[in-house]
Amino acid sequence: MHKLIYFFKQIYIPAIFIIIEVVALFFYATSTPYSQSRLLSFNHYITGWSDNIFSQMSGYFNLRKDNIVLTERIAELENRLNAYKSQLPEDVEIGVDLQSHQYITGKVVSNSLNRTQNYIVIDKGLNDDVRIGMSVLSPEGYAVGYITNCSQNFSIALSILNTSFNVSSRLSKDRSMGLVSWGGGDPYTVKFTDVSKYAQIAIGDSVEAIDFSEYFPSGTVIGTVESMEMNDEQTMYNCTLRLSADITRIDNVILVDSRDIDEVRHLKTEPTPQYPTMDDTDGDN
Amino acid sequence: MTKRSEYILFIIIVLAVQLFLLNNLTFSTYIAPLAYIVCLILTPLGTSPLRMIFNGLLLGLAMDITMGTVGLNVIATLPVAYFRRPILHFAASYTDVDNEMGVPTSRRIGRFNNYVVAMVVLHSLLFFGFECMTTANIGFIALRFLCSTAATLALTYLFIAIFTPKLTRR
Repeated sequence: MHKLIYFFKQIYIPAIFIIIEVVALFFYATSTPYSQSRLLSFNHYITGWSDNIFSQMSGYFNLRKDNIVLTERIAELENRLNAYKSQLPEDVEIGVDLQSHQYITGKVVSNSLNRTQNYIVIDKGLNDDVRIGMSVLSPEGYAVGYITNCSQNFSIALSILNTSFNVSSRLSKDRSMGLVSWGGGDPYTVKFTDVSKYAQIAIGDSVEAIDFSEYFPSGTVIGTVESMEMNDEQTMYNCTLRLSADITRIDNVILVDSRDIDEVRHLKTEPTPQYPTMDDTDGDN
Repeated sequence: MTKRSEYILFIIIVLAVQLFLLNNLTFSTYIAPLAYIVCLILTPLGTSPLRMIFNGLLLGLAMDITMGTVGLNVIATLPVAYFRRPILHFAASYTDVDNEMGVPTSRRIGRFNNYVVAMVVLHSLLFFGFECMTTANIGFIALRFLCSTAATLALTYLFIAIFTPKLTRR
């Protein structure tokens, strides 16, 4: 008891100082919209910085596991490359400029999981050529999300664990299409809905992004079918997918810039061309 | 008059000068002297840390109410009051705070100038830092900080020269 009283005697003056200072800061912060916004941006800066520190610390302890995953991935890509090379004539070289996709690696600074609108903050931004709309993949190449906002040094990705996330997908084997979305709750599963009742679905079938997906390169695996059931009208299958990427433990990501997607988006913003109708032709005559 | 009443009169005069003169004079956008900090600088040495905090709070509140700044002066004056003892220790190498009862003077404190400059700079840094809270226009902010600190220092030394003989009279 004496020690407790002694402890309080030791800390009560700094405690009073801190309490009064915090109250003054609170009143000052809420006094004008300007001070409120400035303190909030300072708060975001500090939070981003501290998140970055903790992320670096946890990343250090996961280095061994990351190395194994990356080595396996390199081996797989080497195998694929050799397979492609063997199909090409010897004098043909594929330059970097001809590639339809550009890849950038990034580190996850923060990753929210406990909300319905989850986002991932990545330590690469406009200075690193990151742009809005780029795909975010796990180091193994599985779908994670896509970039929705960029600052100079950081970017924010809409996670697949976000109720606003909807992406057209297809079964790898059957090619039947459906819609992948997350209903909240379990961070390891998503819904794969509106699949034709004539589709040949089996448990364990993988689901991938469609060829003309706006968010992921064609064939990017999203997950595997865990369970399925017919809807009430008996017209469509609704499946539950187990996500291939473990988003709850993701530390590193690959950002993919697809030039084809850019072209498709650009086309969508173009005004619809007006073709001459029969009436116009008659008028000319 | 007793020492206490002389000290209270000194505070009233300083606050009046700050309030009715310095706050209303527009020298330049770069100069905003905050001479009221001299009240904390000349607080008697034997003042307990708790009383220093309350002095800082009251001074900040008084200036906030009169200047219409919600909390800004308290944010700046409170750390100055709280850290006066470490400032005396590190900037002025003065450790005999508890045994001395008089007002800080160059006779009592060897490096009195270091003490005054450290107190004024800390106060100005907090005040102008929280006033702007941005690194945009850093040149203007730095110049405003430097000019205002210089003006505050000049006025602080003026107050010290005028009032210290009266406050230390036996």
